[in-house]
Amino acid sequence: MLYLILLPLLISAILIPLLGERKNVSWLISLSAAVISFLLSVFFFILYFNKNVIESYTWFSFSNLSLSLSFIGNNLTLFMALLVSFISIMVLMFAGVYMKKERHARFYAEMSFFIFSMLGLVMSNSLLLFFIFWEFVGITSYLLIGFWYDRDGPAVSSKKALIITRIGDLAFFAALIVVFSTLKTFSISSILNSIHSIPLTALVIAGSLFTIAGLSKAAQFPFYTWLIDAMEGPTPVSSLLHSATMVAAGAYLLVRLLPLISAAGLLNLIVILGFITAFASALLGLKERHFKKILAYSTIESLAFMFLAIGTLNAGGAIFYLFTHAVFKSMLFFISGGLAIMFGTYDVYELNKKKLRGTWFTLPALIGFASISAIPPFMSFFAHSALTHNFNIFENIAFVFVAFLTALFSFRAFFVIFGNKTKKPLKKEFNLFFPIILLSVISTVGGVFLYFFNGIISIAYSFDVFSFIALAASLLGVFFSYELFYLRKTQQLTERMENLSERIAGYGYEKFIMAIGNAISAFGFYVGKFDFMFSNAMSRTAESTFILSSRTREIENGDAFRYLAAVIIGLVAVILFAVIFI
Amino acid sequence: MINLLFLILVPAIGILLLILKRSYDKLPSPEIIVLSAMAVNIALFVLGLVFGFSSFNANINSSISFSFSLQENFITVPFLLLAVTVPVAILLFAVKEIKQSKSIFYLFYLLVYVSVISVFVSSNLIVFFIFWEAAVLSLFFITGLWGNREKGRKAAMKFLVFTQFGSLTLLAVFILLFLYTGSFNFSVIASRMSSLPLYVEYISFFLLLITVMIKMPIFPLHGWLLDSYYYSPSSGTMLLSSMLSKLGGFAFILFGFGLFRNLLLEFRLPLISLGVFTAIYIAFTASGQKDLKKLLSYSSMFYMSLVFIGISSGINLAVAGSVLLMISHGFIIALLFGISYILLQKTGTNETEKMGGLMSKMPLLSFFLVFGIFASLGVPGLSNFPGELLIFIGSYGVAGISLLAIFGIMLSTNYYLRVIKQSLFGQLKKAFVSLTDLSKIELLFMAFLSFFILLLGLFPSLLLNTLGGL
Repeated sequence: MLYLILLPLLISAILIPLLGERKNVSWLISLSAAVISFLLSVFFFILYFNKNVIESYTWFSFSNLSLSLSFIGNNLTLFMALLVSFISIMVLMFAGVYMKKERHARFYAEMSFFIFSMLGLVMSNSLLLFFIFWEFVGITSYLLIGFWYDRDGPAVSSKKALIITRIGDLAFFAALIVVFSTLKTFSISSILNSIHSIPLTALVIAGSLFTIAGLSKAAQFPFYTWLIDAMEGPTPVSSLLHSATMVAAGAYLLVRLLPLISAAGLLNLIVILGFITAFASALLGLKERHFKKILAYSTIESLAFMFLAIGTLNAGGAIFYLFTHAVFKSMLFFISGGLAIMFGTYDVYELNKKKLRGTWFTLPALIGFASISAIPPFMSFFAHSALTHNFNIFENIAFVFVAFLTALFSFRAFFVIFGNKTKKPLKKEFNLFFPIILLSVISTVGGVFLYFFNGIISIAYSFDVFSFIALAASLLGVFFSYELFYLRKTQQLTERMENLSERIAGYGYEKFIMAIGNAISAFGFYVGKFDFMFSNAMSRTAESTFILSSRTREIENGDAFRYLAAVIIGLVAVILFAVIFI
Repeated sequence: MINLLFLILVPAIGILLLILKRSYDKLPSPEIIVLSAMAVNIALFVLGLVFGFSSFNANINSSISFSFSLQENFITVPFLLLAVTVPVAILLFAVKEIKQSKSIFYLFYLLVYVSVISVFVSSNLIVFFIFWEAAVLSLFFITGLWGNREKGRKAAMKFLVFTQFGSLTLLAVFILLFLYTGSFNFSVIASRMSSLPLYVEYISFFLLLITVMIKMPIFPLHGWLLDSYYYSPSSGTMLLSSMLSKLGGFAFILFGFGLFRNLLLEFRLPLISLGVFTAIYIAFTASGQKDLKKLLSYSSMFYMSLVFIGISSGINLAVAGSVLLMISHGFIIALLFGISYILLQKTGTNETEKMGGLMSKMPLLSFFLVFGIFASLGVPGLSNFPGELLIFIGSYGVAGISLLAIFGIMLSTNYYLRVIKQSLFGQLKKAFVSLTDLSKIELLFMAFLSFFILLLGLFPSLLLNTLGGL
């Protein structure tokens, strides 16, 4: 019965386009569908608590091979369903404010379909079903990022996003085939049970392909660039993409397949890529002026944290951090969107001039940025303690530096935006105010969840020396950023830092990606030319034989005659051939 | 029980009426004759699906068992679905495009229609060959007479030379088979295959391969493809890509997989490699195209090379996947070529770079274009996905190299998204301010094709269950 959770949103995705453009109707339909899904998730969470229910349906079967699609209901998957539907409700509420002036039908239909796909993804037990929803998520995100199709920015960035994530999709597809042809099953649970019967080469191939899939969806190095450009989409979309859905799907895939990945011996690689991503995104985030893009870099970094946890066999830490991150990151996006509606800009230095400190946004934003930097008493401090639980000494040391950089670049945004004090209060719209406040409350007190989380997925946490060293590093980062960006003490240092960041960006990774794309197109162009010449040469040869035959047979002058001649020549040839050989 | 002969007789009556029309003006216009013949055929097909098909047999000369016989074989029904439905949608474009000597055009049109159906149902090789030739010839005339004014004739000649060569090799195969088994009947031949000496078997297999590689087409025998696709009238292009290329795949499955399976299994590694090479080569070629119609022509060849990979693997599963992919591709490519024709008509250009922002003016057309492209890209839920999945699962089991063809799908993602970005997204160009969206009738035909794309994507078992003998 787990499909019931998906049904409301699917209905909403079909119903909205049928009803067409009507004021607020689409919004209400999709919001209520999300609420129903949330309630159903709660219901099933309670019903299936500490059970492991697999519901299997056969899609089609062919000669004793049946392709089955199955859902699984256990604590982890239903918790994820709860999280996704909860965040979706918040995002849809926010969208009610942000998208007021846009055309509704297309937007809400795609949003519903997107949430539907993500809910399906988290509950899938069969890899095939997982892949189907995975593709749906990718395709719908493309349509959502390109929502403002008539602007040039979204047109380019939606294409880029889909092309890069599609590398992962096809890697997933290939891995699916490799796994299926060795084990003859799609069910994740039985695949994980029989890992040892997979030959090592197949295991390594499949594991690497799944890792590529996860990395590209989660926007990790070397695939991270699409996420930054994806900011061209409407803010509710970014907020949904960045918190509990799209990027989280990448981490979630690897969590589900963790035994396979670790058996393939890819964990160290994942850790290394995680650190590269974390450092690069923190440094790149330092120079960014666009509020949403700063948040995007921080998302990439947070996802890198999840991959660090995955790489140290710490699935619990990864999932708990995913939960934490979903809560505070969606809240920060609401703030950025709210500010953009009121002041019409995402540029942090422009926002600085609007004198925002003292408005009701300040406290939630502080909570949000403190959560990025993992400062107690907020939830993410507890999440970090679980996250770093399996780290060895080197990883811990590296993480201290990351923590410093994170605090530095995230608080930079905070101090710049809320740098000037205001007197007049801003108006509060319920659909904007309520989600922000609710999410910031959860971010504040959510640390308690850590103590109950063992029921959902086995999780270990410890507040050891390094978690306090990392905290000290974070606080140092906050202090530096206060000195540099709030008090603006040493302009030189700031500039030097931004220069460094500029240089890293200028190192041209983006250009490299573009160059690959261009090279493929250019190569295609030359292959096309070659093909043109090649087929011309072929037809020249064919023509010359024709000319030969027409010389020998003066009578023919029309197409039909030529055809007849060809048939006759051919027949004669065949008969001769037959006579000679028989 | 519906006799398979009816499926041929109805369009034959249509052809007769079209001929009579030249002397009796009172008959309805040619379009209506064609449409009603096809509508009756659809009804017959549906009845046949419900009540089953019965075979037909008429002995002409008993001494050499030359009989006109029609029979369902193990892959007929899916192909019949394609052959019966898609030409209905193509008719719309024929009506829009063909303005001169209509009755002759529709004569050829129905001739293609009836020949393709006959090839799919005939169990006698002579009948098979006659209709195979009739289809090629009719398309030759369609391309030559109604195609591009300057290049049409030449393209038609090229098409004829290539495919005629392929037909001759096919004829040689048939003659060899007859000489050693003493029959033109498919099932008789299948039961007597063991009487073929090995070298004859090898020769016939390679001759068949040439036919198939020309018809599908597969590198290096694809030289005719671009010109004939590009310079045909768009209804001709749609017939070529969605029906004629499937004849190659059909023959490959029927004879290559059905009769010469041992050789197919022996040579599957080089054949799969050839298919993979073609897929990647052609995906690159398509990436370099700026012209939408050329791009679609090459991409159509890309999917046929996936089909080639599937059949070459000789695994039941992959062959079934190839059937699914061919049927699905028939619908999708007809939809995409149709849209490209409408775009050409409305914007006056085939080059996507010169379009821009059309989505704001033509939301419906954009919807169908995006839908068709997503279906091509193998998005689950649309019809290409099950076929691709089965092909890759089947062929990976025997040759790991087939996974490389997935790289071709990546390239096609790239060029298809470029098409969407350049033509639909972005700011509307000033030249296109007064464009109008699809008309009701166009919408109807597009929805007709899309319905099948969605149906086969969601319920591939509809087709798979008919592949009982595989």
